[in-house]
Amino acid sequence: MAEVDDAFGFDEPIQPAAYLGPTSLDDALALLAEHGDEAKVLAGGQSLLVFLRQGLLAPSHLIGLRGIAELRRLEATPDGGLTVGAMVTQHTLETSPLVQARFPALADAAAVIASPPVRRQGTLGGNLCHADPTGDPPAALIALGADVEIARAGGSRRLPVEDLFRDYMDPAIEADELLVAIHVPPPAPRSGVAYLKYRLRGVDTALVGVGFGATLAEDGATCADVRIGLVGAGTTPLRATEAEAVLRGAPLTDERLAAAARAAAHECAPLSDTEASEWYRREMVEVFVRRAAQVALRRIDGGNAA
Amino acid sequence: MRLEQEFQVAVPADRVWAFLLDVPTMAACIPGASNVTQTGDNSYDAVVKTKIGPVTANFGCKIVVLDLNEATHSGAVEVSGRDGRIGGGVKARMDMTMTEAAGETSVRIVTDVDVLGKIGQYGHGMIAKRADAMFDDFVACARARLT
Ligand SMILES: Cc1cc2nc3c(=O)[nH]c(=O)nc-3n(C[C@H](O)[C@H](O)[C@H](O)COP(=O)(O)OP(=O)(O)OC[C@H]3O[C@@H](n4cnc5c(N)ncnc54)[C@H](O)[C@@H]3O)c2cc1C
Repeated sequence: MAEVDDAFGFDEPIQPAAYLGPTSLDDALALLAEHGDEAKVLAGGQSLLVFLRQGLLAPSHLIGLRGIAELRRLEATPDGGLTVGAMVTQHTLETSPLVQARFPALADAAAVIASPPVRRQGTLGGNLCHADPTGDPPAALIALGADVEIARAGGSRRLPVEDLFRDYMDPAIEADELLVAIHVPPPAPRSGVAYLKYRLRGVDTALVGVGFGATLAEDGATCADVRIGLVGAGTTPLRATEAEAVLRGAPLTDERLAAAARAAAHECAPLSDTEASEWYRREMVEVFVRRAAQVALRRIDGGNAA
Repeated sequence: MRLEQEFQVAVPADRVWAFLLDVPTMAACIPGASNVTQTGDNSYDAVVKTKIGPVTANFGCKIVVLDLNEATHSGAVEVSGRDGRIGGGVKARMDMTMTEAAGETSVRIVTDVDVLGKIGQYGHGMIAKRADAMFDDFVACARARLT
């Protein structure tokens, strides 16, 4: 058995790390300023614990975010947008009546992550900071036009969610920074957003995933705005800007949508691996852009628009 | 896993050959490489540091240069690297050939690489992308030194 265990890396105990449990955001940021480089932030642990267990990471300190109430807020903003604290779990998003009614694409993405136990622990902030190119929420949040709020002791900044993903599992968050919240703008009138995931087995991450959001002009046919997010289509989640350009200002006909889907398949840069070849992933990007667009457009009439 | 890469540089093959065989100078162009020391006629030790996602690996590498043929400007390099802390490594053989035309040299490198242990979980797609990115950096650096 020893050899088998060794191959999977489960023979070594997790390196001991000091656990710090701040109860306010300011305390957490102060701890990060002090220990940043050697510490790791612990959210739901669903990804981090795998790295610790395998000995791939050995931080001196774990800064647990569980005790910080303000990171758990999930609330509508006065203008009709949504603020999601970084520690809101995927289960909460999936079951929230507010999210289901007004931001169904986010509920779609949360509901297809792994399994119920993982979703009860895993958080939206942890998912984004893990920056897995096959995670589901990034594509939905790109389509929703979300921003992320990142804080460090003495200041904070906001960036569009697509700019968070620098490289493979490498978010644009420095060692002394914390992802605090995700801000989703209010749904525009005549808009609809959807997220669709394609996977081979029930608990897999996305082979490809597509978030599609469209806003119609007053004529009810022209595309006034569009956002397309892709996962499983490169080393990071991507925004398919060339596909968007095919649609913006044009009538949303089947032909246009098919052309946009082809543009998305062309502009992305999927990896080949044992699950699927680059070629197959491009084909599936094309198919799922079309399908996600159909669901999003149906939602425009579904009372989602103001 | 097999990787095939090629680059062109506007100097004669002799110059490229001399540069690539001067391992300490050449290694300065390898992203993350340090502590290059000669351990024998054709063998070297080096440390290569690379970061994939949150994980930083420090590969202690043994490098052997072999099958050199000055007349055809071809040769091979075997590298075996291991990171003791995270338990994983790489083994690679790179076969290099060069052709010169009109003062420009084209270098072709075919690499057979095995990724061992925990690092293997990243999948060959990810590792091939990373290898391509490192190669591009290497080529940019080599060009700057040669021209
Ligand atoms: C079996 C399994 C299947 C899965 N399948 C899917 C799937 O299909 N789709 C999908 O999208 N995801 C999937 N996941 C990942 C899951 O969504 C994780 O919950 C998520 O990626 C990490 O969230 P977490 O809260 O557990 O974060 P943690 O594991 O605690 O942290 C992840 C990383 O983010 C950092 N971090 C966390 N929060 C913050 C913060 N606020 N600020 C700065 N850094 C922070 C941590 O330091 C760590 O590096 C799966 C996980 C498992 C275990």
